[in-house]
Amino acid sequence: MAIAKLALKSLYNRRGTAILTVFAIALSVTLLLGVERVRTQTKENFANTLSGTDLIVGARTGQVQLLLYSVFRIGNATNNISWQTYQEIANDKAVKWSVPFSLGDSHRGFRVLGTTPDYFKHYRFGQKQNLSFNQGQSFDGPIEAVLGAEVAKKLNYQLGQKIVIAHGSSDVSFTKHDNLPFKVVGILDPTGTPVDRTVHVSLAGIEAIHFGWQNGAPRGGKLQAEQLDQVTLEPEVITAFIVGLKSKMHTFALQRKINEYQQEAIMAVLPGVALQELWSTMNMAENALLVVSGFVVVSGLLGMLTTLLTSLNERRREMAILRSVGARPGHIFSLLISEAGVLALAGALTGVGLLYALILLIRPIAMDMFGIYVRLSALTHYELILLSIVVISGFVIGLIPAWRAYRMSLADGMTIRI
Amino acid sequence: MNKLPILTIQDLKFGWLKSQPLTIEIDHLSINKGDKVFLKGPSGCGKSTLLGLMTGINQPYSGTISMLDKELTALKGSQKDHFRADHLGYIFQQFNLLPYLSVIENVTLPCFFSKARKDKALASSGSLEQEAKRLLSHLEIPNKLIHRQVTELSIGQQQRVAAARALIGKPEFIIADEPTSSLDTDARESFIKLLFNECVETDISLIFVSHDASLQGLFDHQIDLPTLNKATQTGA
Repeated sequence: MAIAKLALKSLYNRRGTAILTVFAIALSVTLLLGVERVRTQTKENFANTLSGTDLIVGARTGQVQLLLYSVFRIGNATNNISWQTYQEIANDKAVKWSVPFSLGDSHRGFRVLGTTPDYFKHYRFGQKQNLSFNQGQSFDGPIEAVLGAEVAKKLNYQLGQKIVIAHGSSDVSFTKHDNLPFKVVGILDPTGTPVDRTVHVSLAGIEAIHFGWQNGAPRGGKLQAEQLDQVTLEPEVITAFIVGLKSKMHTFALQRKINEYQQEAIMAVLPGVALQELWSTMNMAENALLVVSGFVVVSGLLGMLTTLLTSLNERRREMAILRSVGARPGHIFSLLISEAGVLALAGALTGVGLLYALILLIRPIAMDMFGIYVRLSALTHYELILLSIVVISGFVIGLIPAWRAYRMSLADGMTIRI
Repeated sequence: MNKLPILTIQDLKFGWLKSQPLTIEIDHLSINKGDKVFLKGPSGCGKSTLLGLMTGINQPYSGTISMLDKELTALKGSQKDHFRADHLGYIFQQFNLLPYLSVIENVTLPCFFSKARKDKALASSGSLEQEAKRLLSHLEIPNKLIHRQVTELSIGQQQRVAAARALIGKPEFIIADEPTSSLDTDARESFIKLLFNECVETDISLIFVSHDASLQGLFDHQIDLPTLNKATQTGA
């Protein structure tokens, strides 16, 4: 394949501009694939967070908001649910299991979730996987805590360590529940979900640290550890709860029953439906991003077109020499096409390389800052299609300078015009 | 003499534009096999145009050009391209070589575009590289230079490499378009002698174009284009 070899050597001779062109294409390809990755992986992350749960129940609000604050720990609850209401619904004959969530406190920026030991039995993520303990076991007493994998890792906590929970969900809190430090009794395996960034305690524990509070502010004396067995720590309110049903057939009936519940303004959402609504609100932004990165690819390829076209005049001598040694106009045509193809292919490959370098770089940061687990996976079918579109477009765009060179070499023949 | 005509031109007329006067008007020209012809004339007398016609790049208004018993003017574009690649070597005034190829790669280049020349080169030396080396040594290119970048060679050396490239695969015809005008007098004569030796050895016909009349004594035949070309009186 003499022409391809010539194209490569000629390109190497002009490697300065060639490298810049490849880099421009590579950056645009990285952006395109990066946007695609972020899009699919965010969805995947969200979709993987909750599995095997039929209904999420909380105070009446938007279904996306309920999903976000209860499961993803994004934002805050607008209102609570009374314990009685929870009891009533949890005892419905359609309900197989239910797990209450009580949110609103934090530990050094990590959310604290008040729940029951059932959480570790029924909460499932990914492909219906159960939570598993890396060390220790579920909490038993009121002032015991189970840490998500990331909490333990980032704060370097061990079993048996005492931690103080702060009131409110912000990073810096002025009210600390330092009267009752919690003892770490378990650390979970990593899941790649918000569970990793959660400190789990019992509902009784939440109740104990807020003992004597009214309307969200401390009133009177704080409870001490030795007084714990002298009080009843029955929660009055919870934030939300998740429900598993005996049969899927009852999903809509129970949902309607909850939504029409007279005593309190509560609602139930199907996680899948709420996710779909979340996607549709994100769709516009996603498409806008894809379109923008598509245009960046186009401008990268146009850059290549510009360099090839401007180089043509300087290369008339090269064409004339090739013609004089017997190259036909068709050879000149394929020389230019292969050049464009080589540039586009090299750009695409470099772009993929950059993408993986970027993923490796971003992985720890994305996990730390957003809790998004970025997978280092092979190129998907769709990404391969995007890549081949880029390379094929490169070839097609190469038709323009190739055609010009073809015309030029027909007209110039072997006369050298500078 | 038993020499056969290798190129015959008959009643040739050519002009760049229909509205302009003719650039070339030649009644008859014949070049025999193995001849070394000196084509002279000042610049603007139609030398390059005539070469364009001989190589089939330009198409005449009327008249015929036949080369090796082939009617060149009757061939289609791609047939002319193939014919040229197989039977013609070409040397430019200067900057003959592709700067991104080594000396050897430059010399063997015609063999990638012509199977006939490749076969002949292989028949001569067994491998393209061997044949290139043989020609280069005949043209007195030192062995140590042959894998260098061509830009490291002197102009005189570059022209000899270009000659080797025109000679590889034994084309019937070599056209040298002012190949010595960038060389000094000593280099000029030695270049022409080396080129002659190779042409004689393989019975190649040579058309050597120059405006430098001092070289014409070295050649078998001289053609004075202004005398031959009846169109020159009226314009370039």
